Amino acid sequence: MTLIQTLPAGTSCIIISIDGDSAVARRVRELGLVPGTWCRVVRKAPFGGPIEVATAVSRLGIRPSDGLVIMVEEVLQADAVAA
Amino acid sequence: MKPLRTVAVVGTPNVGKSTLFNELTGLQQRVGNFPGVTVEPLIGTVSIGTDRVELIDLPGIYGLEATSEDEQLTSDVLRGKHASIARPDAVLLVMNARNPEKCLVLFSQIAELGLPMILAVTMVDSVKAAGGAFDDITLHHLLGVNIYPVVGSKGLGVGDLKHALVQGAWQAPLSVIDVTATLEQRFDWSHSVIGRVVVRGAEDTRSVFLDRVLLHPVWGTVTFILVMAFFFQSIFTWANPLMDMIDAGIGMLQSLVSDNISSPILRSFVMKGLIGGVGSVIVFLPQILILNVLVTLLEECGYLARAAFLVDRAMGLFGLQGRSFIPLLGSFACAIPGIMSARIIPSYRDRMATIMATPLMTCSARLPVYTLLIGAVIPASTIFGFISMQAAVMASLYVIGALSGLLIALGLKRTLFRGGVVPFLIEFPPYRLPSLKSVGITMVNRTKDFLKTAGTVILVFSIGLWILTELPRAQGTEQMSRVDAERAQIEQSYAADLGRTIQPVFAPLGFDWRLTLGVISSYAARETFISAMGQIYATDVSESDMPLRDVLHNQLPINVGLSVLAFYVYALQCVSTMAIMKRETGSWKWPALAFAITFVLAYGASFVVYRLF
Repeated sequence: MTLIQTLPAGTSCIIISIDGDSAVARRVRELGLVPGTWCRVVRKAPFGGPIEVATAVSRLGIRPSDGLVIMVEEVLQADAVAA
Repeated sequence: MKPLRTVAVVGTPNVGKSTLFNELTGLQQRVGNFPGVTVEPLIGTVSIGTDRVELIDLPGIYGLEATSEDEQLTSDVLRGKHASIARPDAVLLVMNARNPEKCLVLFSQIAELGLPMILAVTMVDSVKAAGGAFDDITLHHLLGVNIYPVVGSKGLGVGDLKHALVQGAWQAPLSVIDVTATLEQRFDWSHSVIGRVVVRGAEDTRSVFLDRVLLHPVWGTVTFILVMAFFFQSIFTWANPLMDMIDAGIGMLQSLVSDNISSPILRSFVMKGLIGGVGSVIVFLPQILILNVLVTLLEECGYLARAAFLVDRAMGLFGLQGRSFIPLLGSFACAIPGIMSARIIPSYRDRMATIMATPLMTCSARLPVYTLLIGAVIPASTIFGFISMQAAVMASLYVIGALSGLLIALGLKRTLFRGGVVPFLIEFPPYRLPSLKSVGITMVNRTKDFLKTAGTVILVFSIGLWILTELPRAQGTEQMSRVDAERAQIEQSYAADLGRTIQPVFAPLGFDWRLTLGVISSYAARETFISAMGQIYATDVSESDMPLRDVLHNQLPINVGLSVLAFYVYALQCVSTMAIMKRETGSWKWPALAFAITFVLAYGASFVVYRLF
């Protein structure tokens, strides 16, 4: 289990948990990043900027911080396709 | 006549709700004026024959639990808990066929309210074009409400939807999921429904390709800079001919008045107090409109969300977030539309900090003042043989203003608007062509909105300023030439008394009573400084036969000139900006605070500059 922003661009993962500021965490879930969802880190802005995350439902620009902690489990590309 | 019913238009952000609202109601829109509401929802009318339905366009939401002021409004109105907006009779829910999961999750929550509902589905054409399919009949059976596919940007299906709104059968939605269901369960339900009614077409490869370029660390940044350069360039170059036309129109109106009103005091009141005062603000209408058109186009086509993503890191250095750059950028033309566009920032603290920084961005009203004073006091020499000294000073004034504004925002985020870092979160909508009709309607409404402000608050202030500068009437001016008479008038006015009285306050900055008077008159609008200086130095100009710039060159030592420039970089000398700030923040407290902060900075900077040079 790891923080989503530590994954390199192009990695697929499964959302394990979303914590932090309750309003923000809820908003992230409303946008479709609910635990158990498959998603992919599409790209990362340089200098520790925001990351782009794609799910089947949304494409989001996110800057994780203390107020938004997204834990994920990295999955192999083949598993993601199968899922 | 009373409308048959009031219908709330609701949807998740980015579904094309505003476009559909514009298509449905056209110009039959007004800003809802409810007491105690800072987010003013638009009210539109749809009528067929004599039957009329009122639509209220509520801010986009993802669920009924609000995280921002805008969303709170929607949630309160739908629940019938709002203090001044009555509960609507029905809901028009807007759903996007390309991205329907979140919309259905929202449906499952709104269905619990029991209001009759119609579902409008946008972008069905786009799903079909990608080789997919959308089964509205099955969806109707699953949800229990009537479904209307529409293509907002082309107006297709809008007629049917209008009929449905006015005459159609409204049905209360089925109870699709248990009230206590979690978001996870609602998404599961949504996925299962989507699986039965939508066949996704091919992936939107165009958006994927565009993002590969537009969000690329190098190419994305290059594009961003080009877009911004185009943005600036067009605000200034396209607006100029229009502004000149408005200026000429105001001049014609004034000479018409001057020819037809014989009483000098009445003539002066109509010419300067009414037409001149309001006119000096209306001149900025083209810039405000062009800025708004560009921001709306960038937003509708999907680029704005990407731009916010690109600059988020840089804005983060100042405690702000990616979305803050839109209002700040706009403020380089005029702080008024800049402050209005701050509505796109959902976090209250970030929005307030951004609004407080906007007056420091060098607006176009400062430009003529800078041009005059730089021309007067900065030598026309070059540094390193090729950089014009005057251009370098001009550029540094822009940079100093912008940096100071951002630092004020940072300071406020560390104090008044303190709180945990609001995590940046933005949804990337698919790229699409904006609806020109919808953009046009938005423009017409913005214009009405702006003219209403100009016609009320700004009018009151300009009348007040007229009283200061034109009363009491100077005596014995009948034999004088027009220029001398105007000079005599200004020297004997309350404003001159005020200038002389207040001058000791500005003495440490090197301002004499005339500069003090010019600075005070700028509080109506900055560019008034030039006409005030023109009137005050009118005799010197006519005697020496030199342009005002050269007269000022002889009259102003360089340290005084720089001191005045420093004052203009910081001071919030614009009642219109303060009026808009009040409207957008809901209280005079914020414009007052902005005024105080900028005054202290202006005074301090001028003092330092005056002593230093």
